Amino acid sequence: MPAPRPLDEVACRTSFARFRVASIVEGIALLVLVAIMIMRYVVFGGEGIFTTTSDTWTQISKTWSPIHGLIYMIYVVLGFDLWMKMRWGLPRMLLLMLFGVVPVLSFFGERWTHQAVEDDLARRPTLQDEDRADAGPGPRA
Amino acid sequence: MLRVALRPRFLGLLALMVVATLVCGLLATWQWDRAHRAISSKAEGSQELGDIRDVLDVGDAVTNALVGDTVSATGIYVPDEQVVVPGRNIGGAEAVLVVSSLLVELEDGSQVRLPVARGWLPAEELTGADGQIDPSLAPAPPQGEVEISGRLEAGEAASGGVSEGVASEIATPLLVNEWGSPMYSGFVSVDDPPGDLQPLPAAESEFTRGLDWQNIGYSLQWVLFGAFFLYLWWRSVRAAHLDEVADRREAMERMLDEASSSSEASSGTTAATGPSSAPADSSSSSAVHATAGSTPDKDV
Repeated sequence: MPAPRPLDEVACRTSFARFRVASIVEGIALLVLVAIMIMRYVVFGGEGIFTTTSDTWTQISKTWSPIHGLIYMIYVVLGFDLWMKMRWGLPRMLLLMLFGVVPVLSFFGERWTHQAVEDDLARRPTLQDEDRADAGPGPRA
Repeated sequence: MLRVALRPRFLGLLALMVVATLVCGLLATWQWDRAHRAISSKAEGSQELGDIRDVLDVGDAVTNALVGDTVSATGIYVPDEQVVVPGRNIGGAEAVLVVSSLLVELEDGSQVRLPVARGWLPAEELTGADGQIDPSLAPAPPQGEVEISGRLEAGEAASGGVSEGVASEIATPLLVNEWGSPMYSGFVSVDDPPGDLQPLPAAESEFTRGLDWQNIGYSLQWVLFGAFFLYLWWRSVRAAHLDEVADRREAMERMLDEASSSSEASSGTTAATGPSSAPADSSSSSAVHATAGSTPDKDV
């Protein structure tokens, strides 16, 4: 088994910082969407399922839905960037995408991803290892 | 790269991605159909649905499938139950709609009100001396039993109310308060009104405007999403392939280094036994040769 390829730690951390912001923003945006849906279909719900009696909430929902869609797309793009930098397997990308669509899950997903990033950076060789070895107070002849 | 792609792990993931892409494709066609539904729904033109009692139950919504189709109704206009709806623009003219209440008898003998838009008049014809719209100037509905035929339309969204015979919209909730229930939701817009009244143009809605570009956009987004899943798979195959190529190259370099250093070391010992050169430390000479030898070896 060959040694895993080194990661670019700086790039990984930058990507994760971006992903973290996207993840929190997406989490909030999704909760807002759920709240709007509840107002539209439950609080002001009509007789059938997914019918409403409130024009105001229909309008709010029609405005927010595309905005949330855009936020999710940005989230997926930033997740993809992190996934590539971390050299993760395909299933993990699907997991990152899933974190963004289940309400509240993205907050836990963000913590889980942080842990995964830290673990991998500690376990795998990085491009910065050599610099650190040079700068560090290592034993020198 | 193909050999990496054909591994069971990647084939399994490919199957998963293909399923995801197919689902996205289905969602794309769903949005595509939604974008075109108005066009396909009205492609055959407006249909003759016959008597309203056979078409619509009291309290049922006028659905998009029904809007614009022609219905007939027989009943008696209730005297004094008439409102005008000002502030409309029809073909550039400021128009006032005249809406009356037609009492229709159902099969079980109960009577139901049906709002009927009898037509429109130019605003100046209904403007009183004080400059305000005067509902009493609107022509009274005919007396006795009448049969009307017209377009079935969904009720408008109520924003205001009814005051002194002037309504803000043709909205069932407003008219129920004014005239009483039970009442059909929606209204009938008379095809060829008698007298000065002119027929209303077909009501416009997001639905009737035809191609819905928002749904077209959603459809394209689903296609993009589906393609993204396949792209992800390709990226992971490529990453695995490139890693393996790099691993093989490094392994090869190591091997060549070892091979060259051992051969140099052996030649070094033979040289050391010779009389010409000073005996060198074998370990340091092999290290020097190894670094020097690795450069030309790369091209092999």
